[in-house]
Amino acid sequence: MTTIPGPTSLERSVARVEDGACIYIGNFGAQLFSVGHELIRQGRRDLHVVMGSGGILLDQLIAERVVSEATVAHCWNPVGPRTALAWRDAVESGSLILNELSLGTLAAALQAGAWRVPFCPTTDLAETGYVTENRSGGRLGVATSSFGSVAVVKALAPDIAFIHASAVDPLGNAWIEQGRSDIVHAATAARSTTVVAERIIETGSYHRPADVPGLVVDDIVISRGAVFPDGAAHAYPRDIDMYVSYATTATPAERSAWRSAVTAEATTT
Amino acid sequence: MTVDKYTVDFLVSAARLVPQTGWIFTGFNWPILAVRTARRLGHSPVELFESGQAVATMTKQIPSSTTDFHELTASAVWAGTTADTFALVSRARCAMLDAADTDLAGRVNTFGSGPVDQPTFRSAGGGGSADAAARASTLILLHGGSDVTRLSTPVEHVTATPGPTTSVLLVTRWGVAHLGAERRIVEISNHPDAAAFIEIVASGAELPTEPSKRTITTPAEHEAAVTVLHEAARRGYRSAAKALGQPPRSLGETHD
Repeated sequence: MTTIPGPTSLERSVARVEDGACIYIGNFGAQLFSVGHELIRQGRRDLHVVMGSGGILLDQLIAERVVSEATVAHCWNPVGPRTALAWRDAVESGSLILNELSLGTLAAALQAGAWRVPFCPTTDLAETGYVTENRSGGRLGVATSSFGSVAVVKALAPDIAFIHASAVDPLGNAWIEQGRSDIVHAATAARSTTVVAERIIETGSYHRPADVPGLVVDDIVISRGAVFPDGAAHAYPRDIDMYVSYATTATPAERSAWRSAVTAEATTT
Repeated sequence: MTVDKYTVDFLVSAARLVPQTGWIFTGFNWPILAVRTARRLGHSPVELFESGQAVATMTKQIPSSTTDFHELTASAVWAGTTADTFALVSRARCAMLDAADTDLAGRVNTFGSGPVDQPTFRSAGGGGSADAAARASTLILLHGGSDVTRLSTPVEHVTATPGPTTSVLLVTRWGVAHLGAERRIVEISNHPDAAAFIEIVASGAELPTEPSKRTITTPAEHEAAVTVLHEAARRGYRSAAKALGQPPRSLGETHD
């Protein structure tokens, strides 16, 4: 067994992300606001971000010019739901390189990345704009074999994946209490994976085996409230007011104040 | 403020289609509200969400979205990956999706409008709707809109489309229609625009001469739907607040 170097700080972990890198930010629906806000604070630029649900975290990363390319399944403020305004403006103006995949095809792309194969069978989207309008950015195709033909999606292997876990042990084994969605595939596909966990536990003390094996984990960050104002299963609820208030932010100063409020509240979860 | 009667009837009509037992893939917005209304009326489905969880009992609070894990996980009976989740959709009794922009082929647009490269209006995108629609045995589309003419033209962009063998039902405030090759009206409401709905659905299709009238909403159904609308409005659902004649939830309102 390989012991991972002891937990590092969020600041140091995020500092490993280089400008222009491709990063996966999890989780689907429980977004690592702590990671995104640190990327903004460190002034990262030109990232290609992979996210199942972009949400208001991707909206901020676009607004603060951290992201130049996004591979996503959707992006909105899920409370309401409301439009994510920076997302909308960036796509309407053509300033964001957008590779749009359905959630199933995005997960399959990460699965192919995890398997180290060029593509993976997936949902046939031939009659949709993902294919007919090439919204996927050329990531969808058809593979023919002696067994038949099937819709496929091109493999996706981010440089770094940040995933959220309820708990992690010193070996990097991580436990996820929400739907597993694309988390394990992303962690396995990425060249380097950081687990941002709510707490650290002794190896063998959890009541069931881990969801993410320490084998694919390179870095551990312990951060209570890491996905706040989203909610974490069995830990803290989604803060509806924070989501509602995000919709009132329009200027860099207002967004900065909103992030400060999130950071302050996250420590109390 | 008075609740919009037609929205309540629409919600009840959708809730009646929720299976009493068995699995249903539940999409965001109206489907969450419809299934919760059905639960309040005694239905006991297992809800499968795109986030990779299945829930068998009514959550303490209505989830603010299909990824409200703090609410969902407490009632979860299964959790899995995205691949697992969509593999289960074809085995579910039905998939229920929100369809604010849809057409008579059962196609749904959540991309927006205008050219792909520089849209005039950019919407959120599809999430897992395309995966669910393609795999569902029965697809139930909930169109909560109030402009019946929107159904008369094909969607400008296609985000999700039913699979080749998928049976599609469109639920609206004007009535319910079976879409696809054998398009027909299933039931018609007493909404003033119901005749326009019939006319739109009838274009190019053979309809029964006497479509069934929508069964009148019972007091128990009305109470269940209104209760859910109030719950949903408190949790931020704008569609619910609108139905109740309220402004969208603002800061500092009382939590459930």
